[in-house]
Amino acid sequence: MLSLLIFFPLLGALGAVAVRKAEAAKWVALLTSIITFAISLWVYANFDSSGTGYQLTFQIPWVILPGIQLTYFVGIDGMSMLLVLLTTFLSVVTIFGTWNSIQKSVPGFMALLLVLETAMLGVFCSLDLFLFYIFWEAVLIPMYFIIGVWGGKRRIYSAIKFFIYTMAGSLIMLVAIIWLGIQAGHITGHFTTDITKLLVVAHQLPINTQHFLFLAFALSFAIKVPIFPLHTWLPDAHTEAPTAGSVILAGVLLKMGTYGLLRFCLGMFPQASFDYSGLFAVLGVIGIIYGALVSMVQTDVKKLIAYSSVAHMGFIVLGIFSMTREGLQGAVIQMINHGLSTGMLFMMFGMMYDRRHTREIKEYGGLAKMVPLFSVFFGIAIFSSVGLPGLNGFIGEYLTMMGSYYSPVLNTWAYGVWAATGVILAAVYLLWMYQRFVFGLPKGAHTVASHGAEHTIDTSHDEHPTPDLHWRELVAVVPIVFFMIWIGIQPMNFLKTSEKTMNGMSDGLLQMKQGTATTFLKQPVQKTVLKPNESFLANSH
Amino acid sequence: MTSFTISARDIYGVMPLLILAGTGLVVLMWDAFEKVHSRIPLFLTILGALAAIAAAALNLGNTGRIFNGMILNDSFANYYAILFSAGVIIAVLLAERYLRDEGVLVGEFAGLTLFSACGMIMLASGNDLIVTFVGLETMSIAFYVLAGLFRKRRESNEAALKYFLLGAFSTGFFLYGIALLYGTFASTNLDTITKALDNPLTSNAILTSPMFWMGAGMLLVGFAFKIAAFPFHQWAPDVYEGAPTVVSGFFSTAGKAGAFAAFILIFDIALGPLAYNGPALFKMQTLIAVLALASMFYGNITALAQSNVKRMLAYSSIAHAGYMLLGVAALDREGATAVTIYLSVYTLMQMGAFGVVALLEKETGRGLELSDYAGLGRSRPGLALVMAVMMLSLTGIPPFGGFFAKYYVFAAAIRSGLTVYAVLGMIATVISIYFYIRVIVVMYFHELEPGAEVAIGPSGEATLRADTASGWAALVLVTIGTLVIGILPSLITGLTRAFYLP
Repeated sequence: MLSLLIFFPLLGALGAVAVRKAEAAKWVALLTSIITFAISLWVYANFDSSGTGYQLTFQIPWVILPGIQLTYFVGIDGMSMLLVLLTTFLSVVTIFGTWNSIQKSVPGFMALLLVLETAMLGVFCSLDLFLFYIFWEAVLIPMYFIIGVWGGKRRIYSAIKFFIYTMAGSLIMLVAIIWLGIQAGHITGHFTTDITKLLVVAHQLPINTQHFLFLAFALSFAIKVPIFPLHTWLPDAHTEAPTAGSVILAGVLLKMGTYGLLRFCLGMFPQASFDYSGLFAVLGVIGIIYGALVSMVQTDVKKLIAYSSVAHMGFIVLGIFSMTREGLQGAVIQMINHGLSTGMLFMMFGMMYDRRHTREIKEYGGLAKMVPLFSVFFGIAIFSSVGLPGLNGFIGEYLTMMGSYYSPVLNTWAYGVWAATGVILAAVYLLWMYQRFVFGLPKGAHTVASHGAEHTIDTSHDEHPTPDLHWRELVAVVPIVFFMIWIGIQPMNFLKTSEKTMNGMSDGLLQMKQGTATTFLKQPVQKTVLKPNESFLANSH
Repeated sequence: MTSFTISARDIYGVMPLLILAGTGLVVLMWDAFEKVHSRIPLFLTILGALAAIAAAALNLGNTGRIFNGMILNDSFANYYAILFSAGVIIAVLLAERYLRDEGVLVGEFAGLTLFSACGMIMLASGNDLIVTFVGLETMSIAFYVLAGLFRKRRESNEAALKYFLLGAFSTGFFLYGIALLYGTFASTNLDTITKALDNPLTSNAILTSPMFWMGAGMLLVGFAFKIAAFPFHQWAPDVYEGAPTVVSGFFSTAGKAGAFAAFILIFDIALGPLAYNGPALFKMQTLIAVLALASMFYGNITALAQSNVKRMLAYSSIAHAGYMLLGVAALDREGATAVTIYLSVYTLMQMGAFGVVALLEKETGRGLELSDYAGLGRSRPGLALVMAVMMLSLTGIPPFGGFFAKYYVFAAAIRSGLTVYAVLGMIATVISIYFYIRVIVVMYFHELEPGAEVAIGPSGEATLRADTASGWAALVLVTIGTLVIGILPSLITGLTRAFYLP
């Protein structure tokens, strides 16, 4: 069932290339993504949120060499279930919402989007590290082409930067995967990259090995998230990518990084995660504040949204490394939220960009009068991104901050407080942008409305007034808003899906933390009063 | 050794070699009597190579030695025979139109290619240093001639001369190494060498004797020349650039595979018992691993600076020799298997890349600059797609074959404790990303220049060699091969798994 879900879009991609005609290719892509979404709902119907562990698993041997056994092994748990739904949902609305924004080589573009969907679903469903790595890398190629062929003016620079940045991280991860497989082989008796087995044996490795492996994995994921200071590829890639690319990039690709941190770094190397939790929490908070400050001074709408992503992803990182139930659940729901709200921001701005062809904030203004429908929906996306109570963003930010406040791992409330300033700053830069963008004096084509014909700054656009949302665009954004409000009002419907998984993970981590806390170097006072039985506990891991 | 008889089993064991050699003779003779260009030599060559593949496939399950222990007839040797024959098929398919345009008879090329393949098979099945040497020379001499195939072109002549001089030089090293090893072991038979090293009574004396180390070192230098590893690579870029493109493709892949096969047989298998002896293993491993790293970094960094695609591929082939050397440096059977897989994939992807270059090349060697590829994604989508797949595969990105190959090699290296080298190798790979994807950037992301459209647009298609069925057949073959190995590597790992089972 999961395999059908993963590879169905690939089939659609072949179809999109085969039909060759632009319009037909769009319909093939749309139909494929809708069916894929339906399959994911079917998967959800078969998913038991009260169960623990991986479900709907499927495993067959794949590559067998002396010393290396790889399996094709897929399955999902509560966390990946939500992300799978997010991926399939966003794919549908992206294809629909950016219906006319791509003009050249449409079949190729649609095919790449569908290949991308396959790769992303593969990342979230793989239960073999090696398979995971293949899908992880396979995401790169379509995205690289999407940015490079259909992107903006500096697309080549951005595409290469994106590619080299992420590839450098992944290659280090590849070494770590091989090394981990071999090290695990010393314990289990044979080379393995089976995640369910690794989760059991990885924390029995020597602590130094764990540290190295943790850092190698974390580096690769941190680039993808991106965690400050590895974020520099993101504004370029986001800004230059075509709308659909930006939506998928912000909506799903970044989640692969946080997903990896949760699944592999925390899951396999809990001890190393404790040791580096302070570092990552600090980087997360820096990301929140830095992203917000940089956003504030942007004159380019897409860049502003891109930097706001850095800030929002900071919350997720903070939630993850708090390791509390609230923090982890908040991180998961925040991943969904960010996917919805930032995805919607990019998509709606893309719609406006198709009409006006500029990304500068100062070129806009007075949209509220010209395109009221657009302004309302754009406003909802902004408020969701700001974290207004009643919408989805609030739930995620609240939970992650609460988690970091309580966290026995981070052990200080300071992170939560600093993160909270990020929320305020988010309100500042997003609302300010909204104000300049939507309110104020109309600019560009539509000075006519308020000043009369003789004062028109730019008359050349008179015959082409900026139209309001097309029904197709409306159909694309309404479901997103629907989910935003649903999550905002009744988050438990979503939280319960990942509840068992995340709670289990958090409890396991915190128990382990309590078991070894006193032998660890967080508090220098306690380091000197090691009791024999405690050091025994530490060594047994 | 005194009573030397040849049995039917011996003949049957070298059947692939005999078939290839026979085909080579027939093709050459045909060419001598033929006045007009025809495709018959092409078909004959393909037929012969297919027959050789069939013969080798039948022998694949064999184990053991033939010709009094001189020649191996096992899955290793026969797997390589298949690889070389496949290389010949791809090369002649690509070369047909290319050579006709340059006024060279196909038979001449095909014959020489077949003879060099014979040499390669001897290299891969040589269980005696003398057989290895004969194989190396058979291969190399055919290559010297192939490099100078374009008699009227100055670069081609230069390439041939350079290749010949440096090749002869490296042969000297190789032969001296054999002599010194003979002095140490009183035998050139690899089995005898393994036994002597395996025996604790004799191995201590051997491992402390400078003669052994000098001999092994000389052999290493000889091989490093042949596989174009840094710092013995100087001939490679010039020769690859000057030689006819299809020929460069052939000897940067199959030729390298031949040299590596012998390298593996001597260093990984015959000198395998070194692995039980800590310090000796360490010495040998460090030596090869350092060569590997130097090749990777030198090849990749220099390739960054190239604007000529052919030259870029030449430098990248130095880097790939480095990756494979890292697998050899594992000095165990997993490493040998990994290198074999790498060579198989590498042959496909490098041939594919050179094939595209050959098809795009215009008369007298123009059209080789990277800027000539601008807008190829629109004007020649098929060729651009093949090239893009090859570039991504050479970079080592899944789901293409190049990724699996690299994965196995690095896994073997890490398992042998070469983790630091593997990490550095990955960094070298990161460098290589840039120049490989630059080709894609130029092909797809750069807009077509207005003037260029006329040259390679729909109206100018006749000027391209790409439109021959044989060229396309070869490209489709290598592309499918690269993809299939990438997605279902078990297909070839299944074959190589049978290696070295007693």
